[in-house]
Amino acid sequence: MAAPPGVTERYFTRWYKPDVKGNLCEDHCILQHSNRICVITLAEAHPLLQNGKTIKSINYQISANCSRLQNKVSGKSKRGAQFLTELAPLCRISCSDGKEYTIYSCIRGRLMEVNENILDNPAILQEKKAACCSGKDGTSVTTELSVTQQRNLCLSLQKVKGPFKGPP
Amino acid sequence: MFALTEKNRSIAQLLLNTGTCPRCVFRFCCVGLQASYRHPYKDLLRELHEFLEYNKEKEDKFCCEIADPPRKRIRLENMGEGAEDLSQNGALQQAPVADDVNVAMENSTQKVCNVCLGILQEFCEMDFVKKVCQKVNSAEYQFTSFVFSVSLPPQLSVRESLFEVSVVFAHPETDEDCHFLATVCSDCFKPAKNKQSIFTRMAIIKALDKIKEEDFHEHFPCPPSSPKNICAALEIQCTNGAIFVAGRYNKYSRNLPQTPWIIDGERKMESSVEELISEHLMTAFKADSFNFSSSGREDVDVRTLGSGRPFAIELVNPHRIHFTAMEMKELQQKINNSSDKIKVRDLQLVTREAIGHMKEGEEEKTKTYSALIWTDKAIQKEDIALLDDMKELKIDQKTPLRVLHRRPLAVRSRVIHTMKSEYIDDHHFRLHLKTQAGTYIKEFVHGDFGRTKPNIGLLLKRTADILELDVESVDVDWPPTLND
Repeated sequence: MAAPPGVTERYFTRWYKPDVKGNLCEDHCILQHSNRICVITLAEAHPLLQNGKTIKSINYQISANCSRLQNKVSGKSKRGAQFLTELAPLCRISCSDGKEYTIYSCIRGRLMEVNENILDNPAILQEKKAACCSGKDGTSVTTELSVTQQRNLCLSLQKVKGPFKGPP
Repeated sequence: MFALTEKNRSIAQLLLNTGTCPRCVFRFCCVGLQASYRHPYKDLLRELHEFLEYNKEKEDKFCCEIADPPRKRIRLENMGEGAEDLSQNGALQQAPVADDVNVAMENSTQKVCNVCLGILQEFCEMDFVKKVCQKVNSAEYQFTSFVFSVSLPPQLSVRESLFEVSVVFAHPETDEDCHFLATVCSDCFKPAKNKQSIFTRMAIIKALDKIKEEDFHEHFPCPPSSPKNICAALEIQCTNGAIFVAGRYNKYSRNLPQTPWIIDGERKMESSVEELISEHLMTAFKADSFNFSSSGREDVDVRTLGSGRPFAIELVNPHRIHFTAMEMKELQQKINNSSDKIKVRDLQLVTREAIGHMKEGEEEKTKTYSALIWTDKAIQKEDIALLDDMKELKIDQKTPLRVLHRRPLAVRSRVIHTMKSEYIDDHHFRLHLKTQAGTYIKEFVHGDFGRTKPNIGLLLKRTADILELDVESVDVDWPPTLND
């Protein structure tokens, strides 16, 4: 029986940003909810999602002064959120093979929360969650690094609408 | 018997001379007998003049107070001194000396009373009363008891939960009379909102309390000047107290919002539970508007089954209020016949307490649901049996992403009291759950990106998604069940 449209398909629009910061295949996928809240995730092509990759640790401390874990929002209007630009780093991920990857915001917005579950269990990031997608080619797979943002998307996001299979 | 007595004479004379109408004269003389005020204005005026003109030696018509005639005469002659006592700013008024009654009367009838601005003159006469009654009758209201309220500038009428007839008076000519209070007692007058006058009744009363008598007399003549124009009756308004109708509703459609779904003035979804119920009530009760509330609510795509969800509708300014139990049943039937998307039951008139019951139901009472669940990996009966054994399962739910744009980010602890699973096939099962008020069921099933923990997916070690959700019961025993 075919997988029914999952939560992601029903309520989210996918936007892809390939080769973020010039790094080949480090594709990000933005899930935009109809209420304009976005979830930043890794796209299928991203090295971290390839077979054999083991994540050693995830660090939300992106600089001496800034830790995404310190982000605290309050009230309906989410006062106190850290402001993000397209190339603002969200976290740094270290792998057992020594490679390091940085995940970027990709969109302008205000940071609402980061996924703290992955700190204890980084493997979650790599789990293939069938219900979260049924892509155009019918296969399943996208995982999420749940970093959620809010508010109006910038023009650059609209320019990259649509799935990209490889480098442009 | 005339209402005034000898001791009132000097005051009455002074007031009449300064342009005060008979009824106000009575008020200043503390005449408490209502009957005295009911006489037609012209009669009162004539009697007052006669009273003042003739001394006590004339029998029958006038006051029966025992006083020495000589003393009384002296008092008349000393009218000037008496006046001095009464008005400290030295604005003496001389008593008319042996005026002809009729001439005096003529002078008075043309004047607008300087105290009530005419409200106790013309507006207490039969003609105006008839006008008010006509207005009330033509508005066609049903009511049992009523409040008659009069609005004096800048007085506000007092509202009560009854039928209220309010007459609003305005007198632009003297509007500025009270403005001097703002300069003398500026702290009593708060800045105006929305360009409304700062001279509210409360503010003026407060200022009058505070102001020193000398300061008052400096700014405002005593006795007050006679206005040229009579007060105008701006409007005669009728309003009825709100009526509350309660019941329970079922929702059978998966395409119906509870309240109208309108974004930027554009309606996104046709109709709503609220509108389907209230449109018939609005018509029957002939109300101006309504306020709908219920014990919680369900999503557009969720059905409400079982005995339904309690709701209460406040009907604002209903013209019709008397409905028998039979008529309410008929109204209920009418609503049920008009749509197959909803159904109402136990429709009844209730009191304002209804709203409290709604709140309580929403925040404190348990609900039961039935969810159709899909799993990615195949399941056997044994795989889902473990859910049946979980009692009082505690979960933590972060504000779901789908409502996060309009709710604060927070974690809510909730309890899943019981669960009962029904195996369908290797990718589907039905789950019945009983949960605490305020639990997000959909998020409990699919996990909302791991933001609700634990969730069905985690519990079954699979990925789960919810295909259908129904509310089976809202465990509130209000409103009372009626025998249909």
